[in-house]
Amino acid sequence: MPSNMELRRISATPSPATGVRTAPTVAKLIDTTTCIGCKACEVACQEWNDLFNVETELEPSREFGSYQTMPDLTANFWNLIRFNEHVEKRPDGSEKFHWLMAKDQCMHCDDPGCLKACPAPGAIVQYTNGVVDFQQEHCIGCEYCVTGCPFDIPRLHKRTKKVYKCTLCTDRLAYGLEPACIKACPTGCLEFGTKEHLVQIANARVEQLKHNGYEKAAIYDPPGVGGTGVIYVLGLGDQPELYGLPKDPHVPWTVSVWKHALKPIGSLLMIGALLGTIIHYVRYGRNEAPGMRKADREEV
Amino acid sequence: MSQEVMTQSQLATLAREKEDLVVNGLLVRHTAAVRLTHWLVAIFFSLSLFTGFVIFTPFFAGWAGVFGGGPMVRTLHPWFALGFTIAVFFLYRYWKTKMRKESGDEEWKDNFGPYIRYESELQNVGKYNAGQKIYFWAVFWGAIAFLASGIVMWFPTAFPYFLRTVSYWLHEITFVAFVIGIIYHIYMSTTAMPGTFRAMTRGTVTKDWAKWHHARWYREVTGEKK
Repeated sequence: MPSNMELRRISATPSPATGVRTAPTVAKLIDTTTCIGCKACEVACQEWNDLFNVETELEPSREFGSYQTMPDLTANFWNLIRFNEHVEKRPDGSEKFHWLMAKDQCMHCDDPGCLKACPAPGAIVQYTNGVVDFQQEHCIGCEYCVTGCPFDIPRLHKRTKKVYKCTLCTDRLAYGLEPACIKACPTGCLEFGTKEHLVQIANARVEQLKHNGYEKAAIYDPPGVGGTGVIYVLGLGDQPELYGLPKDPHVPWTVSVWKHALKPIGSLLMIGALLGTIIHYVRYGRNEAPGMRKADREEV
Repeated sequence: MSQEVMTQSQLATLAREKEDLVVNGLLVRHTAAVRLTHWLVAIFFSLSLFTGFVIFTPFFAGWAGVFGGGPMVRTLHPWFALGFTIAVFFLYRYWKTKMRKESGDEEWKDNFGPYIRYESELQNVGKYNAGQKIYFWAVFWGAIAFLASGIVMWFPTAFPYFLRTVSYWLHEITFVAFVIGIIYHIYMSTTAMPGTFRAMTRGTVTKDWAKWHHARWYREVTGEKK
């Protein structure tokens, strides 16, 4: 097993994760300003992961349709280029249409809400390289991860009743290959590497964009989830919502309180109740009706 | 009070249909229908409890194997729980009138301390004491809380995000309350109070037991004066 595939975190497992070897945190960089919406990454994802049988759907709510392949991610469609339509109002009163392309997929959070919410031991793991991966053979299909995910990524498969999402091509990474989507990108708007390196590239790109008139350009690497393994360069960096990205995502506090407060307190109360009966019995014994015979006591 | 001595099987037949009467020097406390319903509640509760524990904490993840693995636990738990809810509903139909507030209830509550120290000898205790009534209504409302939150958790993505998180909390809190409740329910009906458990197996209790634990019910059934 390569060192980057050792485990940093394991869902629902009280004992420590097994990884001892270190590996650099890897990431994908998505430069939304140079994405041309060719969807090569979507095809590469489907091909590499052998996810066929996906029919293109049009979003029923859109009157004039859309260039987008699918309305949403599905259990066998893990990488969706969203053609977010944005009309910019210019100071001179004119309007300019923009496609704010976003590559919707698992963000591979450093602090993954899905893993925190998961009750099935080993169903969600995080490798030492930061990649968050679902192990479907351990998944019980409860969909807690769907509620734990701040980006609404995991999808339950109707037949298998397991959740699926982008694996960041762990099966390619293990052999030193870059993810399939990166390999297919023709404009170079997708890059793969260590996170440290990609942040440098992204910063340089943001400076360039600012110089070219995108004053609000910024990196999207939300600190609320410890940073993500998928980072964006956004032309309109002050409004990530326009790209379908939450402004300040966190592991939902309801999930954290549920897992880190309700469960331990509840467990203590239950153990306390059990101890309470023992203490009560030792202190007060039985409440036996006077006159009760031995036979009455023993009859069930 | 019938002086006629019945055979065990005659007694069993009678206790199947009628309660609150004296037969062979024993008081019939629960009809067979009530006992059966209670056992259905108990069985479905246990099945829901053990499958629920697998999902509640990884420390009990190993129990999943008993039910055919984690995915089977996830599949079965809602159905076991549905059985529990239906059984509780039937128990509610039997007991809703009997679990109403009565004259001695306040007195019993005021004597809760002496009661758990076995120091109270209250005379105005009917067939069910106030504690049993509180437990029954807690189970009834708890079952409703379980059902409402459980349906959301059964099909989480069919419900809005807010409802899902509320349900996870509600299910969790109800679960802990139920486990604490069931621990004391079983403790009190077996170890702590000998002679009680047979009320749910044979359906009958001894006179001594009835006089001691449910004095007014004893007087009502036997016709004896204080």
